[in-house]
Amino acid sequence: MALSRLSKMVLYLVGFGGLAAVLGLFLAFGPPQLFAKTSTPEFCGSCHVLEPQYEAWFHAGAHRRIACVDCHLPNDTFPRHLLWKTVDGVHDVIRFNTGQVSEAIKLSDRGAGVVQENCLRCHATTMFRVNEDRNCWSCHRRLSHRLSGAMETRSP
Amino acid sequence: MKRKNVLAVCVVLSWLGVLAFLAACSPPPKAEPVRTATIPDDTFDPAVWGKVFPLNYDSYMKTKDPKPPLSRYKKGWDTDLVMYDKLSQFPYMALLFNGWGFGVEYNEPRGHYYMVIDQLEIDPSRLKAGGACLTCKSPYAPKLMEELGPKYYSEPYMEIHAQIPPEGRELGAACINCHDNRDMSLRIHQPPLRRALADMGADLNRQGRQEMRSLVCAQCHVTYIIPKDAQNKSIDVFFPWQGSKVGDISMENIIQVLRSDPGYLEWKQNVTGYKFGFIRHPEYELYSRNSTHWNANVSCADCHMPYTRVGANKISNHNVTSPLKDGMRACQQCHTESPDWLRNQVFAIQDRTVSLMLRSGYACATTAKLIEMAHKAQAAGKTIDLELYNRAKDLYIEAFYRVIYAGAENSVGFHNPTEIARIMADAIAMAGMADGLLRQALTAAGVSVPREVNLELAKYLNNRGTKPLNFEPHKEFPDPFGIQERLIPRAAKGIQTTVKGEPGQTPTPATAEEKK
Repeated sequence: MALSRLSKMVLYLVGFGGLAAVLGLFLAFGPPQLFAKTSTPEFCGSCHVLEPQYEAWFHAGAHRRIACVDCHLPNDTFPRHLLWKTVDGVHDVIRFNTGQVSEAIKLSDRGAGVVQENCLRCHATTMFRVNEDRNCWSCHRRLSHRLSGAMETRSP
Repeated sequence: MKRKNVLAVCVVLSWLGVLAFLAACSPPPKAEPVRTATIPDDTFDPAVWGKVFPLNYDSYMKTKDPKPPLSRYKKGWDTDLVMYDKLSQFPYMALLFNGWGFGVEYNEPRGHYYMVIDQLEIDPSRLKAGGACLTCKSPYAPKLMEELGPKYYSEPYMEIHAQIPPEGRELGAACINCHDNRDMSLRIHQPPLRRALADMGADLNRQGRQEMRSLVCAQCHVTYIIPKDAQNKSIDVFFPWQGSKVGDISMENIIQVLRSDPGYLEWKQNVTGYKFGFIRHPEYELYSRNSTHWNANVSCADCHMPYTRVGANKISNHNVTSPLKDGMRACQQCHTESPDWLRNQVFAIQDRTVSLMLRSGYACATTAKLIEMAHKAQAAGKTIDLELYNRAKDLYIEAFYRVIYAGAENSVGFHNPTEIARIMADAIAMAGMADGLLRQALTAAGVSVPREVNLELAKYLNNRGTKPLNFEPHKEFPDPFGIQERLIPRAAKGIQTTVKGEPGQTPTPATAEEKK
């Protein structure tokens, strides 16, 4: 009745994988609430290179009611959200810890696509009759974290 | 078994790999701004803080400057350099507040820079409560409370004021009122707010940054009670928030606390002879009670200290003022409409509020006069039905507190339009009911009550205090909707007629005609 070596190994792998999945789910969605905690702007801002972006968002007016992940991660389906949260999160951890963060943090092309998708997700009605070949922030320039804040030069 | 060990070794090795990776590589260093100086603990002088934060300091010092005269109803200290007498703006207040300091000199305030200076310049009758008056106005107040004990509250204002070090005697709200000198985080400096939050079961240490951006303002922009002992000496300063909750401090609760203890009644109204408490600038209370902006998690600082670019830096503008006097920039952080459109929205709310203020204020003043009439009739030997009288008295007291609340709140309704309208509608209903009851009681006693009760406002408005102050007709706010005249004709006010045609003094309501 002894199982073959191969099926034993498969059994081990499945068991280990299952255990890891349960542990992962517990950490993310159980009492430690890692998923919720890593979705807060405070978590993003705790990484000092993102402090200027965090501060700008904090003073940003209407958009302060939504979080970083609402714009910077896909939000159409949960699996896609989860996938890119993992990929981008790991990417950022590696870049940060290896010191590969540029002086001025810029949105990547893929990142721009995600943000634009999210603008449209909320503002779809507004955009109903407007062509969508430009990014919202090429005109609404104060949306950018670098430019937010009432402008002293702006005359009343 | 062996396989298990191999697995364990694999796991350990992979973790070690991660740790080695983290240890070997280093994140980019944090760029810290150069600190040009350090701020020692207990530094009151803003100039010392200003050496480290010059931009914030510069904007703070701008509270000294007059503001452009862009507000319709809050002409505090504008470039016209006129101090606006609130009793001339709202003449009914002179009748209602006759009997104590507010009925003598009551001005629209200037900026933060002038908080203590305004006290030193106003008629001394306003400072009768003693040292207690410094509680909100001077950053030295917590220190004085600690050093002087009960004497701080009871001794004359000027005596306690003299205990402030000479260099700080004219210092109003300073950096130390809101900031921690070590990391500039927000902190509560004046003690009464700590107690008031504890009374409501709120933990000050658990308030988020956004909540603190309103709470630091709630140190002073709130109503308070100065309880008196048997000798009528001040013994304390506290906020009447018992029984309320953060985000739900109701007018009804405040009145309930005020009426719960005779020691909370600070003055006697001359017209009626009733003892009253008082309500001062309840901005935080009104704003935090379910207003649209509060519900949208907008803090006081978001509108009154908008995030502003100064050169290459961004700071919270410390030149705290009304967004109306700052080109509506604060509003435009969220609202994309033009400043003119936004201003019109604010004026539309404020015009309606002023109309209601006049309606409730004059209704209350008329009732006060009827009470005076009842007292005179009683003194002349007539019998006034006590049941009617007591019911009227109770309603009048309730209405009066609502009238002061609306008059003392500094946004002319904008902070919470529906709540202020509700409060004033109640005041109008209560004063009207009391009016009817008193007329019934007086008629039954054989006193004929004139159709229009003469308010004799000239008596209360002129020759006030040591300066003395007089009614300035061009400062009066007419009813933006012109209804008031139909209820209480000018002749019944007992006040000389307004100088007609004064330019720029007559506010016009934001009605459909104006938009055309």
